Amino acid sequence: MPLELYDRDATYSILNEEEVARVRELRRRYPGRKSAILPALWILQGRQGILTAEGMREVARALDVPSAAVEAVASFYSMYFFKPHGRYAVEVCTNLSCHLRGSTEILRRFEDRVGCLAGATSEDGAITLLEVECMGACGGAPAVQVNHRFFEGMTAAKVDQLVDDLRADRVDLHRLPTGAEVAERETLVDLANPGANRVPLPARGSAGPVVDLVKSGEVLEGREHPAERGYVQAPSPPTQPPPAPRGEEARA
Amino acid sequence: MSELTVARLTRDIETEGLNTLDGYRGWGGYQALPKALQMEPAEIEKWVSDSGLRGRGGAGFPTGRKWSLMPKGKKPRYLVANFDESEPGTFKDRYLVERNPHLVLEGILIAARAVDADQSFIYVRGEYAEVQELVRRCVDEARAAGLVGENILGSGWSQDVVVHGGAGAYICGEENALLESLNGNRGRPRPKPPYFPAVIGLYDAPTALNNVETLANVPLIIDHGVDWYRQYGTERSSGTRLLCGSGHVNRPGVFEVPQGIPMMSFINDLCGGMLDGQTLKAVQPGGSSSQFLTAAQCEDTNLDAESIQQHGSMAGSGAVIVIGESQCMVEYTARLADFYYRESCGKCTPCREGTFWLSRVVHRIERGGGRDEDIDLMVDVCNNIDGKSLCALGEAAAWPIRSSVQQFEAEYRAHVAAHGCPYKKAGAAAVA
Repeated sequence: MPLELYDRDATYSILNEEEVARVRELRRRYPGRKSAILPALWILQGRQGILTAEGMREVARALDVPSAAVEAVASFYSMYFFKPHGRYAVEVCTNLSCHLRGSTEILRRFEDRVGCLAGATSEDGAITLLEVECMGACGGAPAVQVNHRFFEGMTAAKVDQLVDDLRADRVDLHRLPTGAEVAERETLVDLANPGANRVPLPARGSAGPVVDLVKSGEVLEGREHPAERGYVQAPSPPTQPPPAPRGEEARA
Repeated sequence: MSELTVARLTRDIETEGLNTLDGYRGWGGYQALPKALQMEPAEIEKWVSDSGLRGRGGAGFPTGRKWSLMPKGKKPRYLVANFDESEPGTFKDRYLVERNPHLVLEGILIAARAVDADQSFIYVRGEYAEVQELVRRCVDEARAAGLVGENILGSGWSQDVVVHGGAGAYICGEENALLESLNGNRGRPRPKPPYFPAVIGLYDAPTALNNVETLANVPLIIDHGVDWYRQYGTERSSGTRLLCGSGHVNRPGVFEVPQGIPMMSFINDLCGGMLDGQTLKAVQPGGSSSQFLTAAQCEDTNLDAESIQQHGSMAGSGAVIVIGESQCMVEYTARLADFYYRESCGKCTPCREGTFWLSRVVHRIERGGGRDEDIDLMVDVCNNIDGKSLCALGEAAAWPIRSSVQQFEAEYRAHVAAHGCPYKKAGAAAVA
């Protein structure tokens, strides 16, 4: 009889019965139960859009592992959200191959059209814009993913069209649960920027400001700030979130 | 498409329905598995060793030897397929698995048989969520057909295949970090020795860890034999390889070629030549971690591990990133440095600190705040990462950055002299 760290009959307030059963099933698939943490966190994120403290405790309970182990895993990876976000996550690759094909302009176009910086959510709460590393779509550079579906060979015109279509929910994509509702009642874990890499992207360009050693001590800013072009950084989390339909949990 | 390509893994790859079990059977699939079930595990290993198959993930380690390092008889033992393709410039594994997933699955089953694994895992990177769904569907299809699970094809041999999705971390492509991640820990590399997961791998058991393209070659070797496999390629780099052409070329994409074709015919004939008629400036022949080759070096480089190595770079993951004259090398290197800085897991000091400072210093040069000493400083930082980090990520940052500084020193000096990027205008025009 293996040691049960948590009460088997514990109640769950976030995960429903079916999800708890799936998490427990995952635990049986692997020789070691900690291996099920990663897929179980996907189930949690599919459920409520973000990973909250209580949600992670429930995952730990269902897997019979310490919740510290769950949080340690959760905070390492870049694809889990800890703060509410839009129902569409637009991830723009700016890595080498995409960079060579003009991803800088594509990201800027997205910032212009969505009206916020990479790393933030549009004012209407529809779109969260993220700058990400290589997604393995270098042959279709510049590439973006929306809710993990690829859109390749982006041009300025395609960006405009995509943003309009997303705003009007005209793209055949499942909508992410935004986590806005959950954020009202659950404790948020301040582990990272929403979906950003472990090293958060500074607001002013990839490497942020650097010190100019030629003109002693002067600070050189990063890439142009959308605010300088008249865009306001949208509040995050969005104040009036749209209703968050359940995601299909396709990747759970 | 061209007489330069050879269609083995990519034979009829665009056929509709090839990614289903029926489609794959029609393609000639699942012929090798019954054959392998009749063979002794040691015999399969010998065939793969004799074929000269080398790992396609980056390090190019001979596959048969990797398997032979696993201590005999020690149980349990596992097989892990590395589908965490995250080296910038690499998209061949996604291309292959999206179109012919059962080929990889058959390879996994045969390899599991060869190493006598108790269970197999496919580690799919989190960003490939849709491909992961496809792989799951394929495993279910195969299970229903008696190809995965208990008593496969009535042979009495069983194998369970688990599809495991990652959640976004470049470092999880590194074998030790991948195993840590699959163990359910943070994806941080383990200190070496032991050098091979074959000795202590998943759950501290002997583990065979192979790239999915490598595994896709295994059914073909069993099906057609060693001599057939060796028809193409060079003595040390046998067979064909999926190469990814990206960057400033007219026709980026995945091409299956015999190892050792000339770099220039890859760029000009397969990738359709340089974008907008630019002249070639540099190439990274094996993903973002490989050292730069200048245009002159490319003239007599062949795309096999030995030839590329002779020119001071590496064949890596087969991602050929082509850079034209319009791209400022300092700006490019700054983007490269950012990537490694963000993806460094922070476990060992040389990599954590080194990548941070490399990113800062190269940005300083790019934006006009750099000094002449910064150029030597960058090389010095690279030297202090190289060979001193826990895993290959540190070296993967140090090698290309050092080679960028050394091969294109004039551009760095021009930035320092001009207090900024003298090429900015040209670069901006080219991408508009």
